[in-house]
Amino acid sequence: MTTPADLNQTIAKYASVAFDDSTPLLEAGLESLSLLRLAVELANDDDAEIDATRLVDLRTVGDLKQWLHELSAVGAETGGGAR
Amino acid sequence: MTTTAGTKLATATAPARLPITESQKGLLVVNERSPGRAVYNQLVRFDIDPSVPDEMIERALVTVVAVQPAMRQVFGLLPEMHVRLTPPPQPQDFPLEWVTARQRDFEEAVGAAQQRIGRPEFDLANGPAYRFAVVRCLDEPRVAVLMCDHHIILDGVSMGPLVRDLQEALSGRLVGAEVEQRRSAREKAFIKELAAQNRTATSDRVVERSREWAARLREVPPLVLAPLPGRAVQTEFTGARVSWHLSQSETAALSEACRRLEISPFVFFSGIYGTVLARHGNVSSVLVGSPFMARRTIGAFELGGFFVNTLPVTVDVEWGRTVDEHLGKVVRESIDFCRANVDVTFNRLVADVQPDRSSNRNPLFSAMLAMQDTFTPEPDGAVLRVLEPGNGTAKFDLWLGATPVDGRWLLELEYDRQLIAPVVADGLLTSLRDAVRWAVRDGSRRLGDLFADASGAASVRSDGWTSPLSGDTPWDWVSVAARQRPDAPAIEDPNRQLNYGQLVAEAERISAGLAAHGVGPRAVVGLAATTLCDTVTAILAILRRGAAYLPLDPGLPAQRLEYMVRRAGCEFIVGETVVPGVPTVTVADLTAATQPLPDSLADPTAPIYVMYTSGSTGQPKGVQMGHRPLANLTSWQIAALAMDAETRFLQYAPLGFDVSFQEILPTLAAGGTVVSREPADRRMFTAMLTRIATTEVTHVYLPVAALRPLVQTAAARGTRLPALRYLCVSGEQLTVDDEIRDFFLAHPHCTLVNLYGPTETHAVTSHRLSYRDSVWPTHMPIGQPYPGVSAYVVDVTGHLAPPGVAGELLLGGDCPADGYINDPDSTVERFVPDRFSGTPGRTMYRTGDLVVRDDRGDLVFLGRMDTQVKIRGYRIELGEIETVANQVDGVRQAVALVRGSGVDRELGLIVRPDTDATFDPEQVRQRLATVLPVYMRPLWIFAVDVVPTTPTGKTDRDALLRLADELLVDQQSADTGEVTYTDELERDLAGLWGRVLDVEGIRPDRPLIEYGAHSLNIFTTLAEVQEHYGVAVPLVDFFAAPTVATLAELIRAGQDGDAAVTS
Repeated sequence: MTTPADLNQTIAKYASVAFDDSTPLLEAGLESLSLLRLAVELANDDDAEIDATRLVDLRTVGDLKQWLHELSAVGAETGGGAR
Repeated sequence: MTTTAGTKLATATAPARLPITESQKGLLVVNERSPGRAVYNQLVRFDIDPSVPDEMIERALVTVVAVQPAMRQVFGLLPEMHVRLTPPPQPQDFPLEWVTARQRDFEEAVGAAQQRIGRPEFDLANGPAYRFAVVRCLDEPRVAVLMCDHHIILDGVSMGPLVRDLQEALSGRLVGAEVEQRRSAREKAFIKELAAQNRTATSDRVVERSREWAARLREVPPLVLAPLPGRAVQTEFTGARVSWHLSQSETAALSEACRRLEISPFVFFSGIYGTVLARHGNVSSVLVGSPFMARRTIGAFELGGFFVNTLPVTVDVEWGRTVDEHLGKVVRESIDFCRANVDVTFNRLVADVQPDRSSNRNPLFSAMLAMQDTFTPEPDGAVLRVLEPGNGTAKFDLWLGATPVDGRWLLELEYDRQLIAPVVADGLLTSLRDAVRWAVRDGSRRLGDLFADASGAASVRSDGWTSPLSGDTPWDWVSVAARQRPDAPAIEDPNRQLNYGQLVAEAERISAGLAAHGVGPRAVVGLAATTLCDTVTAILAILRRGAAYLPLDPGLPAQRLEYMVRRAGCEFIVGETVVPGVPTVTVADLTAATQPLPDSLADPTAPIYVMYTSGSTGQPKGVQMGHRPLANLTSWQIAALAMDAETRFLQYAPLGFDVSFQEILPTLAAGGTVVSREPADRRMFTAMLTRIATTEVTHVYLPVAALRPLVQTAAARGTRLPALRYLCVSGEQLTVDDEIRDFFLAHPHCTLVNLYGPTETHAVTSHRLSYRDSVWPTHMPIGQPYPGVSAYVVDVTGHLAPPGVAGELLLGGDCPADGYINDPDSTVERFVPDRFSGTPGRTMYRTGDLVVRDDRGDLVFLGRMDTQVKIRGYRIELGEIETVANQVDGVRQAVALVRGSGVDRELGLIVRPDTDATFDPEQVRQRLATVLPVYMRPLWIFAVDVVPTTPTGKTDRDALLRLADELLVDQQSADTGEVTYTDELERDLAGLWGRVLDVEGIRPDRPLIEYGAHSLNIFTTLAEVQEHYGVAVPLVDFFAAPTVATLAELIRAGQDGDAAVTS
């Protein structure tokens, strides 16, 4: 499981400015492609699936973190493939 | 890929079949619609570290293919569309070309290699679907690796993983057992991703959302860029590019605008591109296609593959909206909608929208936006630069690529060369540049103001014809001609002839009579004389009094005449008694006046005539026309139609039709002769032709509807008109066919002149054709304005339209009338300040006509703004349908009609057959089906003996519609409803489709789309047909009319063709 500090560090690699949880993603310079790359980097399992239709609901860095948590949790629990 | 290969493949022994993605299915279908053109071949150029030796390069490329399963896909169609992965390539089979070149030839060698590997089609059934070339520079350290692949194996996102693999392979990091390990892992990941893709595509939730979305997409009008008549329905997909590289500060400002609005550059470009398209397409809503990333498994981000979903972004454009609201709210929400529905596939949407498929264009959107991935070179990496050059093709009518290059946005427009002319593409680029610059600079700017006026010079570019006039008023012109040649013939009617001396003397006596009745300057005098001589002398007399004439045709209803007289403030009538109660004196009585001759009061500032427009809606309006426009017209006409003392101009038009002025006064100003059409009846073409021949007139001016009958009569009777020099037409859109052209080829001394102009300005533009012209456009342009006339095409944003952009025609300069007589409200509405002239106080007239300038700068009439014929959103040109029908043997005249309103609108065709021909509506129907898209084909075709015309000689469509109503009622009562098939083949095919679509009783002539067929099941059913009947039915031919009857016909044709070859 990724720690909150790790998560911030990883996100910072893709963000163009400093951010906190309330920073809008676009303001942080995080576009949809960066979100997916983040997901790829953080996911535990290559077989984990991304529901791309959910990306649109991610507005802030906080939303992103929540989503990334869920993604890695699902991957860890089911060994991938499940949704 | 051919369907032949597809069926062969189904029986081959090979690795396991894998399901392909919905996007790949869609691409297989569209690929089949452009056979032989390699439209989906895409090129990539990698500039690499030149120190890498050749054998290492080769090994690296083979390795990339080995570890990227997507590269090794081959495709099959039956029993259902699938893909197989071929084994990694052996170096000896690897499609790789080696090229060396000197530095000065290097780029040329790269270009040539790109063409060699880029142009040939790929065999998708057997592979490989890629080719490579390596170009090494001999005298400078440079190496370019070129790759061409079929789009179906790689999407744009694939380039990242591919470049990463290439980097590793070139630097020697990816070798040995690692290759095999990675290959195996990647293949597993690839198969998982395919499975995940297929799982999502069919969920119920997706099905429902797709239907709802499709319903909304159907409301969006089709985007037709450069809507010139005769626009290709099928194209060869040849493309060209124009581009603009933003400056660093412009790129920074764009980023700042995106940050401020919290939008991505994709939203920004979609919104601005959509706005540009709305301007150029003359619409308020457009669909912009865009690839949306649809990879599902985490592992797929290491994979190449075709995992995008191309979806239509709806961009609604309200011209008064601000940039901020448009981008930050409207477009952003629209794109969020697509992102939230990215699991709805393009194929499913197309199936639900059921768009017209008779063209080979993309069924949902004609314009595309692609945000190109950007490549950032790794420090010390072997790949230095990645470029994606064009391949000389265009998949869409217009494609915009946005790529960050060296920290600046590069915008490239790729256009289909058959649809968009280079000058039109430049106009699009200018609009894009203007809109981007304004949008990043000022978020409060309204969308309409993102654009600038196109060149004003185009509006005043004229045909240049002018000739000096001998005075300021028509009275002066005629007086001068009379002084010079008093004995020359001026007027000929069947009863009398007047020479110039007599003409002027008689006009003077009438003017004395008018004076005695108190008619003076600025009066409006009704004119209802019966003979040409009386009419012309009276006109001159009225003008000599400084008054204006008001033509009153005794044939009009009494109520109408009464209205015209009252509204114009007319208190005196010359000629017949047409309105009781208004003082009326015959020409003869006025001529008999004995009062002394008063001086001429002819006044160049006074009006010349009042003529009523036919007024299709509401009451007719009286147009008061002044001297200045008519002098300008006369000056043009004498020069443009080479008029002089030898000119003999037929007086054909009714006096109440402004063409009559052009027949009479310029002829007299030139010292020529005006010849009455009488005794021939205007609508009896045989008699008219005889009159034209025997009077040896040099100039004839007809309503458009009379031209065809006249040349047909001449051809049928072998009549030649050696004296005729100019045959002018106006009044409706002129569609030219071979019969008309043949007449002018047989009369090389005669020029066809198409004139255009509403009563409110008189004729203002013209276009001419003669034997010299090798190309006769079916839809004849209205051409160029006269000198002194400004022809403004004003687009939907209110700006002067660039070439190829449709807009309303506004007419300024020396042509607008004074206005509508005694009707200031209507006058202010239509005669508006000329904001383009740069001179305050000038007026322009809003014609309400939709026109477009073609790439030569000629004006082309598209129709009325208010009564545009649109069916299911498609703008229909009735003349185009008529032209096609006219080409069918036995058809003398065809009239296309629109019946009903709103969604019930339907097209019909009325045909007048040749008198000696037996008419077969089926023949016409078949001809139309081979040439026109589905939405332009009439639902019913009826034959008539006579095509009725209105008093001004135009086709009476209302009368024909009433007739059609009756005929349709008759037909309905005769219809039985039983399905019959021509033969067993049709019956079998109907059965086959019945099974595929799960319906019974498929009618052979009804489009299968209406029973639920869509491109995918058509594609696979045709493969089945091929297996069964041994005929590869071309998809494009079938889509032209997707019915059981068509399919049977194509199979028979295919079988006959085979028989012919083997026998």
